[in-house]
Amino acid sequence: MKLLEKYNRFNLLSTIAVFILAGVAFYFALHFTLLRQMDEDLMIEQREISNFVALHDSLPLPVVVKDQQIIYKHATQPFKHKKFETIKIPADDDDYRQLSFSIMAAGKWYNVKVLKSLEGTDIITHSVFLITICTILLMFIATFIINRTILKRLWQPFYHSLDILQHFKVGSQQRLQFPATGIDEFNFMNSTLERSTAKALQDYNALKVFTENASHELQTPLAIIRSKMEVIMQGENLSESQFAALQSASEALNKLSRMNQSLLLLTKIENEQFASKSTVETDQLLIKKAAQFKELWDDRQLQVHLDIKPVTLHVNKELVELLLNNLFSNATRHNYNNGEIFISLDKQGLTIGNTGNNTPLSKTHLFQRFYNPSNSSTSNGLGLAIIRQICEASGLTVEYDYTDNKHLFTILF
Amino acid sequence: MKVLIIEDEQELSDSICQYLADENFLCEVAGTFDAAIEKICLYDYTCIILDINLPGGSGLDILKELKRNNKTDGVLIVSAKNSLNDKVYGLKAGADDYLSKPFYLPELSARVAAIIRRKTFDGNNIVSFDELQLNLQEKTATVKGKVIDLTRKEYDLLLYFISNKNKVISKNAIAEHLWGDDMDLAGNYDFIYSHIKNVRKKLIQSGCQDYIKSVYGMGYKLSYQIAPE
Repeated sequence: MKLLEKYNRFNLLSTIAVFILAGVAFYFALHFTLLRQMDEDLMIEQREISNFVALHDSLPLPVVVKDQQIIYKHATQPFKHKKFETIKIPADDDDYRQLSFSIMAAGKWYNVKVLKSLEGTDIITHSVFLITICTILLMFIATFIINRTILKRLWQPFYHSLDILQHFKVGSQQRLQFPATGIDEFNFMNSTLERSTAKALQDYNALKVFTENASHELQTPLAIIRSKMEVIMQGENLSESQFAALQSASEALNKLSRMNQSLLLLTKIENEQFASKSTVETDQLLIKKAAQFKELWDDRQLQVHLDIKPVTLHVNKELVELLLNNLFSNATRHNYNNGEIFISLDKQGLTIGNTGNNTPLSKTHLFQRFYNPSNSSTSNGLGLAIIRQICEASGLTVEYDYTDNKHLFTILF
Repeated sequence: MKVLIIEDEQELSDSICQYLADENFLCEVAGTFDAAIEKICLYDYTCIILDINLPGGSGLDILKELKRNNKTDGVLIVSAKNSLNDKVYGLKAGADDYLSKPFYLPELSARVAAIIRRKTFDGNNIVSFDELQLNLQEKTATVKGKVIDLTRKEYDLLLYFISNKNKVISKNAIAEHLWGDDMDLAGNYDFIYSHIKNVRKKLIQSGCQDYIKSVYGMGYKLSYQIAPE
């Protein structure tokens, strides 16, 4: 839910509640006050009758007044107290307020009922009700307009910062700049964001420089170890077990050296050292690469299905070659003998599928560095990280899927 | 034939010297930029193995110095900076070849041998080993005048072996030489085995000795036995 929506919801609900409560309270207060007023009028009427009786010892003649009736009745049993009540008269739609009392005139008890119509009070209460409803409706509209314009404008810097933040990529080397807002809270937020993103960039760069330096510095010792081992290998009197040890050491060294090269490659792509782009006839490149791998595929009796349509891309050629190398190596390495490889290329993208281990790979971890689910000693877990890095650098998307017992890697153009 | 190794890591230059010395190369070593400049000004070398990162300067400046003095020494750049730019720039500046660290000594040896062949045997494109002759121009192999039908890879393999005769070459080094390092063939040596098997079969069929020996599963060695059975 959006901030404004949430705010609106709370705001409107509470306003409506307050208005309804106030309306109800006002209604009852008004009703009560108006009744009191009416009762006082009735009592004035009673006083007038009492005064008349006291003066003339007879009942006054009923005067016809609009919305008012006075009824006299001989009473065998007089009312002990005067009594106010609201009654309905069948002949009339309106409610009436009635005061009943007894009075002695000419030695006789009379029960007197004075009635006054409540029509006026009803009109007032209805008006109040209507006004309340109208105010609530107006409030709705006003809140809506206020939120639309003023609140939106007030929060504008916040959304602007959010937008800037959304485009932040730690690899892009672009330091975030937030505009000054004139509101303390937003300024504080922006300065905090500026500081923390700058720190993230700095940390990222430090890590990158470290990886780069470490890989660079490793190359010379690796070269020395390899050369020394090759010198030892030339020894005349080496035993078979010594050769076996040398072989193991040499394979471990190869793995290390390959890993080092992969890490270097990753930092190079991150450093945008492959920025120059040209028009690459991807289909031709793919066919060439497939020819290079053919020997390897034949050797493992892999059936390769090629479905290649002419596609040209504007990319870095070296990176695409690396991408194809990695994709092909992957599909070959994680296959079984007599397995299959499917390669299809069209305007939408490039798909490479292979048979292999019958468990789908984790989509979330797959492209992470050093992720190696099969714990295969021949893979260093950097191949897919390189594939993704190349795709990111080339503006392509890579997706993994597992269908029909096939591992599918799709590069979307 | 004199080879100058310009490399600041003494351990590495020692290994290179030791490996190349058996190939009848006379190796000299320069460990710093200044020592290298001094040596190239004083002497002529058939081939110079040049590191880019040197204490006191860049190997590329040494290359420029060589060209300014119209020296014709062959130059093989060996650099830890495995970047295309370095490679392109180095080759543009007049280097003959480029090899990135960490490299295999047989690979280095083969590259040096190729540079030397280009520099010294003008017009002579024949490399021979015992009865086996390789024509570099036509990329063919002959034994006693008879052409052996080799595939391109098999020919490359034979030339690689001859450039490293009497040396044990590891399977990794062979794989990287034939397929390059970007194919990532780690651990998969079966197809190297089948290639070598084919070459040996073809050599024997054409009537020469089985020069290629397997060395305890570690690698292979091309050698000539003085007293064949």
